[in-house]
Amino acid sequence: MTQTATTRRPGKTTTPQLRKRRSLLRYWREYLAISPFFILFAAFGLFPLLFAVYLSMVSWDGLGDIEWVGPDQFVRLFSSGEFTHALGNTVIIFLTAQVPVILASLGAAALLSSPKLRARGLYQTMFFLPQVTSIVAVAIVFQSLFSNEYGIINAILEGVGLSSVPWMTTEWGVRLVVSIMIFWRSFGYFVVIFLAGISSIPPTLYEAARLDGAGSWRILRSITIPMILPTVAFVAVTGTISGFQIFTEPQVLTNGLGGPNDSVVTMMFLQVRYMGATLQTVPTDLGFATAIGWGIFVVLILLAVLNARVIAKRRKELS
Amino acid sequence: MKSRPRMWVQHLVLVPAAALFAFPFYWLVVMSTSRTSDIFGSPPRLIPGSQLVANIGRLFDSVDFHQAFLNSVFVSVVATAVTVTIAALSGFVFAMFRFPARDWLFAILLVTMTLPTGVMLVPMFQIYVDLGWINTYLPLIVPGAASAFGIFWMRQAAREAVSYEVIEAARVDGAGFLRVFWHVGVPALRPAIAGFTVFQFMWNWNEYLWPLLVLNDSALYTLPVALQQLNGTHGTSDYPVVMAATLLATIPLIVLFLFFRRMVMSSVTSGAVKG
Repeated sequence: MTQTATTRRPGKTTTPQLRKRRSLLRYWREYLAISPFFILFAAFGLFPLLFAVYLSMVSWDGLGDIEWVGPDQFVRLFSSGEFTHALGNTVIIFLTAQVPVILASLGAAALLSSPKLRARGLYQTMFFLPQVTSIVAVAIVFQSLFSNEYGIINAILEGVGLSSVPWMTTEWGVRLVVSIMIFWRSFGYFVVIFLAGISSIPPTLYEAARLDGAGSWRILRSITIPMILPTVAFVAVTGTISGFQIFTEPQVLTNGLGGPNDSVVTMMFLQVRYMGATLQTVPTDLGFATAIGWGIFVVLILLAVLNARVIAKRRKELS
Repeated sequence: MKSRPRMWVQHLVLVPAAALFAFPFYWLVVMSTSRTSDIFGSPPRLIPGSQLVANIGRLFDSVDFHQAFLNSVFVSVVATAVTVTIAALSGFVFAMFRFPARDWLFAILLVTMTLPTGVMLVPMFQIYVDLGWINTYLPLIVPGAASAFGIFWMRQAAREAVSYEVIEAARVDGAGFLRVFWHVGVPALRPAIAGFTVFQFMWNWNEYLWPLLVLNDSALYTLPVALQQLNGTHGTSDYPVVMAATLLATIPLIVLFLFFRRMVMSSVTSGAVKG
């Protein structure tokens, strides 16, 4: 009850303190209003996390007896080579899709932000439309576009005198198609976010820079990019998290099989495979699936820390 | 003026880019309006055909496509309504009210946004099994009902669009907690709510992993799962049918988006400008 006194301190945004309240219970409405998130997080976030500790120490096909195996699943995680292969696939797809799309959408947003540009809305709409479509639908269309024999892409390649590419039957071919799909689908989303970031920059900054005789490139480098760094940080963090949990694109594109030599079996794909939910290409083992989940967890936490460090460093350099 | 030629350069980059982005849609239309023989012929057909109605007819003959469509509408509408309501209320409260530990609680919420959900796949699935939620839509609605991202978004929007003076004025006039939210918060947050609703609807409509995991009964399938199954069964034999289904699954969201385009775009952009 006495704690409330410490929260009386006015923050940066001072609310007029009209009422003096002494008890936490007085704030029940506020706590009730924000409670759904915390309740649901406890039930479907925290609890599964603890449950996952137990599940990763067993071997279980989901139907028969649960067998306690201790740390064996983690030994298997490192020794079987499947997880490292999946991690490698994920990194390759991430680097060839997410990194180019963030850079390209930043460039596109800079182009689109010029105040005199006509048809800005039309461009934005056209770039954003892929984001609206279901990944499953996109994967089916891309399957057709990049089909080895009947695909229009190969027909075009042959038409201009190049040789056709066996997209769907080579490791790098399938990976590239997955990356192009991710690029195509997420580009518009990033453009909209970056445009929002750019338009939040006070126009007076630009006016001042122009008066000082700064060119477009100079303005982009010295005003636009530093000012939207928080937006870029947000996009980088969320983009990395989603990028490393890629599942639907490779799964649907390869009809659940994972491509030649499992070349697009990402970490999530591998986990779902061991859950026995898709085509039964491996014996179901929920324990191993959970261990894979922990592998994903550790990788993503490391990335989040790395992200935070890089962003903090960049921010320091710019300020 | 200097600016004229510069705009030309921008269009020179943007027009081909936009055409490239539109091509897969065009191709979807071509494929779903063609005969199988057109698709597997050489050279491939490049312009839309006249077989759309016939393809859709064969689609409805072979699978329960309209059931999947209705399922998707139901799940998406319910899940979106719940999520948006909770996000708007929680975000508004986080932004405009002061209460003990508020900033700590919000910090926790932000941290959970970076928490990878991948590790929870198996335990979540087991929880749904134990709760008897397999082959129901509850796993698609309840766990995601309070979106950290949505609350974060609404809080930002509230801080930018709502002034403390208006809230105090409403309180002085005797408005209670929910009245303040309803009469001050919701009108000011309307653009953000509209934007989030469309985003959330799209996300729910396209959700694939969990429906795939928890729905085994084909009568309950949502569109993405039904589509994937159809591609598996008809993908090699009757491609135009798969494409017609893909087109039908894609159109509603495109229409929805085009209809609310200005609202979505401007909510994202204007919300940020006001700050």
